[in-house]
Amino acid sequence: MALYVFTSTLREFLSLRRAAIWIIAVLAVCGLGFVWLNFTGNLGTETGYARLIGIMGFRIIALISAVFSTAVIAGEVEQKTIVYLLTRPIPRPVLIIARALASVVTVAVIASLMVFVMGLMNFGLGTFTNGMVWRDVAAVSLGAGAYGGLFLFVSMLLNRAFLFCLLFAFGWEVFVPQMPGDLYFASIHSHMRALTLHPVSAQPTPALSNLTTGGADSAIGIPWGVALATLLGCWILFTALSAVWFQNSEYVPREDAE
Amino acid sequence: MIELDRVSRWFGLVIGLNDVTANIGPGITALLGQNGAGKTTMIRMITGQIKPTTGSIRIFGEEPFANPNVFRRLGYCPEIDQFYENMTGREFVVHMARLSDFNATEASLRAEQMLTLVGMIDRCDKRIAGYSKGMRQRIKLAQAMLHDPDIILLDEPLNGLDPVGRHEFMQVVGHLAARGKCVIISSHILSEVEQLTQNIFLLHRGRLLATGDLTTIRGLIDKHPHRIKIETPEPRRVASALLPLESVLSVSMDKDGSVELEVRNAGLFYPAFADIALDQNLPIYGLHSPDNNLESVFQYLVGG
Repeated sequence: MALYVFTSTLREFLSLRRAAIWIIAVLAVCGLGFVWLNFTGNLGTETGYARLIGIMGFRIIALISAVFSTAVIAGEVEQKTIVYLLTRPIPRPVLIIARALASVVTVAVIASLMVFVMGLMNFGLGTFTNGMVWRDVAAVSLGAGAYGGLFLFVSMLLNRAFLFCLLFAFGWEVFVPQMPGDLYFASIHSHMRALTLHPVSAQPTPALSNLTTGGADSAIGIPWGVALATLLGCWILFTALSAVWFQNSEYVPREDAE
Repeated sequence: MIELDRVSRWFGLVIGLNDVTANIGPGITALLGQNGAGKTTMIRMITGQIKPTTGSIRIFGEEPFANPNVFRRLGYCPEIDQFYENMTGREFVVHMARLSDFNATEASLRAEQMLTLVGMIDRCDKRIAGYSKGMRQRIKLAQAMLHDPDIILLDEPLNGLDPVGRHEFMQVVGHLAARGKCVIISSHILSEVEQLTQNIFLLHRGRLLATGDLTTIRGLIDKHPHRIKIETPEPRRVASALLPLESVLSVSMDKDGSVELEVRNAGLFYPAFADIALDQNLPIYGLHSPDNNLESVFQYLVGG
């Protein structure tokens, strides 16, 4: 049954209409990135690609994750269709984990597509043999899991979770990596960047530029293994917490509650 | 099958269900109450969507909240009118069957059977977004019955059904009850469920006001004065003919020309009235009782 829930949710999330919207969005982001690259002068293919991914790619993953993670359960509650899912003989943890996994796979597919398009813009056909691109695909997939787990848990706890997820994606994730000391450890974005092993630009980055680019060129002091463990741990921990919470909580259409 | 033991449910400071104890077995049971009486709360607790604040609920000896063992034997037709609108009726019912642990072949077969049973087989391949209210009700009914549950809960199932749909629905429900299923139907319209069952649970402001046979409850009601309005072109003649009846307490003429009676025992009055009307050839255009509705029943029972 878990397999059916996973595949049916995946079909729902990657339906033709939704997929078309996200492909257009990915191409739009990449087009914006192309314009940006042309304005920044000759950065070199690797640095240009790394900056493009750091500035745009990783930011968009948080947004896509927010959209799909809140659709896992909170979306069903909003649409009031949750009642059909909760009165079927399927254990709630199985239901939520299968649906959450489908949402992470969806985000990973969309994010990987974006990575490949950005790679094609810089490396041409060499993208598919470029180790950096494949590392980025792995990093965005793990990032999708970490964001997905966290946002799923947020959607279990709060009404209007999408708003809070956006605040996290474009507030916390932008500013925390810039803060002094080791605070950048508390950002999923920093761990994703640490996994990519992108080359650090030879040119020092001014502080203001650093802030707006999300520290795309700042050296990340997170060891590769720690980043991997953190992203995986974040994904597993928050998904498990969501499953426990979901098992023990009531989910009924709110405006119908007497 | 269903046991409620001193069940109460609070929503913050508002009480949804107040100290309800009941046992519900096979056959059709009507859950009657006005809007906000606690019918949906009770159904949601039985269907394991919400937990009681105090007391306990047992379905086949198990607590229903988030319990797949209970859901295997329970079908639920919710009051809400929400669906996956992009799906067709058939896709929706098959999807529900797959979530009930049937393989693809079995799910398709059962969906086909249920859609035939509820009279939707010829329209089930259109998108739900284009369905009328009655068609949506039928689809909800189909998904509730597809796994052949022992208990079926139908929350306001007759809403939106046309007379033909109601008749078909009542036949389906009667058929289920005849097979020993426990069917619980919630409604706020007394006459609607009267045609289905005599076994009722009457809820009022979260409390279980009366349970048992509808005839007995009607008997209780009939002990109270009952208003009956008669439409006639000759109100004075009708009034003078009915006044001698022992069960008639008072007679008044309305401004619209109709006669309003207050009777002591409606069960005795109606046969006597029919006899007099026939004997004296009284011109009667219409007859109805403003008290013959659920609101009046509650007023009588709570002494309001």
